Amino acid sequence: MATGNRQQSTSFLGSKNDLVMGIKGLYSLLQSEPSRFGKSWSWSSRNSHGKGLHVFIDGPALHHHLVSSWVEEIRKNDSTLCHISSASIDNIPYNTRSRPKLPVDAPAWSNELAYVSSSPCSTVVLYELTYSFLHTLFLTGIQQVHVVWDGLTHGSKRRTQIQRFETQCYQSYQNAQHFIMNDFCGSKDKLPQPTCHLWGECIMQEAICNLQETLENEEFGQRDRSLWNHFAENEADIYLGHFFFNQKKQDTNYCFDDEYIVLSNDTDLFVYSSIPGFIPLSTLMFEIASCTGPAHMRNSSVMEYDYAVKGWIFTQHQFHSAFPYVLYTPTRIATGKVILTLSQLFFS
Amino acid sequence: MIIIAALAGCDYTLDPILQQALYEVRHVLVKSDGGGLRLRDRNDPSCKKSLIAIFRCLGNILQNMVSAFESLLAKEFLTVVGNALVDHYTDPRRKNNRHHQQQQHMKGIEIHEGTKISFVHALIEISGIYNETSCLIKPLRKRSINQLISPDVTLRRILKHRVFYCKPLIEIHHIHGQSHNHSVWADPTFSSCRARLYAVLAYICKECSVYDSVDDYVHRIQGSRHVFQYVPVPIADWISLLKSHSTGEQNMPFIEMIGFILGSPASEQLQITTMSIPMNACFLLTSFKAKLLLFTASFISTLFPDYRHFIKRFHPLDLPTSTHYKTHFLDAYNYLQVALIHTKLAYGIFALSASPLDESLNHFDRFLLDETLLWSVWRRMEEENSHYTRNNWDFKDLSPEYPLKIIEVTVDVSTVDYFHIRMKLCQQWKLWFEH
Repeated sequence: MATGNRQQSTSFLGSKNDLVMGIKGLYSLLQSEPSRFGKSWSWSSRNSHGKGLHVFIDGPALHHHLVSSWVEEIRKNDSTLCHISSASIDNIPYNTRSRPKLPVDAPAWSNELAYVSSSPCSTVVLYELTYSFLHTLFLTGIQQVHVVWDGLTHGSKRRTQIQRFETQCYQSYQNAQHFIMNDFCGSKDKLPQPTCHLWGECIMQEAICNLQETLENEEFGQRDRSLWNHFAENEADIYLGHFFFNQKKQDTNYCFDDEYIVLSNDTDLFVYSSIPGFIPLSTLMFEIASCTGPAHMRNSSVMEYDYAVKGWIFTQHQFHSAFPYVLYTPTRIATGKVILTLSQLFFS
Repeated sequence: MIIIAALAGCDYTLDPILQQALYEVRHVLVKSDGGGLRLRDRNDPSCKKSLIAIFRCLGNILQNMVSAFESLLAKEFLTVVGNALVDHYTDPRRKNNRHHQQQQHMKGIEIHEGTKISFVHALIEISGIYNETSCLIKPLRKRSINQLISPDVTLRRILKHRVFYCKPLIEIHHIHGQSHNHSVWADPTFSSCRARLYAVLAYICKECSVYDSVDDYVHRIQGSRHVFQYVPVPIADWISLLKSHSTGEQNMPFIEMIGFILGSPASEQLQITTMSIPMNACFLLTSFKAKLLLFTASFISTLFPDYRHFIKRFHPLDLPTSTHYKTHFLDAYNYLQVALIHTKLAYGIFALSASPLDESLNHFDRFLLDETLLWSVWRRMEEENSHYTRNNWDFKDLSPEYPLKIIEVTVDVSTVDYFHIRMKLCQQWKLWFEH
């Protein structure tokens, strides 16, 4: 029906430097044989047919992803950090103009401080990136987006946290030196390093709240779309594991592969058999094509373009098929009457 | 999958004994014929190769023991599989372990009974971590102010793990031969403020008897080296001070708490003597963000008086190239950021201490119920700046650092126009930051 006369795809939101978390070596294994453990996945505004798709996003993973993507964009375009300005932000694909409200709601600060790149990814940039990323997801026809934020991690994760903390300190120090010396261009070791902002997660949550308000005021039939912030008591993956387990228990007719998608870089998600699988954020690719179909398709500005999002989903099902015995789940408990999976045994 | 995660390694680190047991069993599996790795990979396996070997070994065990699992619960399952795994791959009689036998002989690797027990314990512990009971906090569509603070992970980490991470800033520790080997986090005023915050937190949460210090994890530069260390922040003295001034009420009066947190480090008197106008004014504003901004601005104005000057000089499209200005810009910016973090912590603590008078009330607006405070601040401002009030009230010329004394005033609150006061204070806030 509608064919694209202008196609534009972007890998901007696909960074190779994303922080991979979870079981050591598993992400590398998945990547080495992608078609064995996963399949391609796509969703577009044209093909959604009003079907409801719920997308769950690991908030901290998205944070790292956006920051590293932005830094990669700077490196690609050979731009210097010192000259990040509103003009640079205009280059963000599918950017939606909006007014960021920083945790400190001072216009003077937000305009002057945040654009000046004392950090490779300042709060205003991160706000815009979050807003654009989520807005584009909605344009592809996705109906509900849930962003899950980490709570308090287990004490035994302290060593991992410290390792990440120290890496961030090295990178921040390097960035500060280069900022002062004004020499971000040139040799590779002087290129900006992805550094998270102190207020990074706060500003992302702010962007989510503001986008939620925008969606509620949309005139183009977007009112059925919604965006949620979830704050987990513990870690996001534990939250998701329990959430899907409860959903599955409530309604056994759910078709998880079709209705739920998880965007994350955390291979720990495979520990929870209730989670259908996950799409690494680095594999996401947005596509846009202008419509040349019937006029009614172009009545609104939203429908003027076909938006699509593609990615590679690693599914529990395929993973289980690859290692049938390793992920063996006993089908019966002592009574021999009730069927329980291994995960149910663990959760019980 | 939990056994895989435990053996291959995950984000969680257990006690050294348990960790060592996991390492030894992994080592045996990777070296074994059952792991199926090439000889060169067995000696120096990558994470991926180790994982593959573990998959193979575990698959082999489970394949032969399917029927044995039918009546097992999770913990028993882990125990049986853990024991079976160790027994199978360390049994020298097994034909397929010839290579392993040689390896063991050569390197003296041996799985002792104690290690086997530790290994099973490690599996159970990792399982417990992954299946930690998670309270599903209700998803929030629109965050209100108290929702912004209540899931404050930093506060919860301080309470549970007694640690505060001084997160990295884009900062220079060493400038032009002048040694700045400490971070902005280590500024004495901030350090003192944090110690008081920890003390108030422990006091409010009735944890005083449980701990007497919190560790700050800090980064500093020593010569050309990066040093990371825990710095214990003792809070016992502060808690004693708090207790000695306690009125016996369940909640510490708000005004006392703010005075305590912001008090001068030199002063050990639990009383408010001087506070800047914006610092007081922030409690009178209805907007949380406005309050936060004023609070922070007043907080840092004493530390870094020129910060507005330096920030204003930097327009994004007109950045000066001077190293001097850039350095000062970073300093000013970092002072702001760190002050904001402390302010956020303080508000998180205030929110915890607020008495649950009415759940529908915003935590921060509850503080405004203290009308005596509101009135006393206003009255004092009127008294000491009467010439401004006479001339249509213009805060423009009012110095942000203007000292203000809180005085006890008994007043008929029904006659006070609080709305008017708040509006005027909002104007002050705007003017303060536009200049």
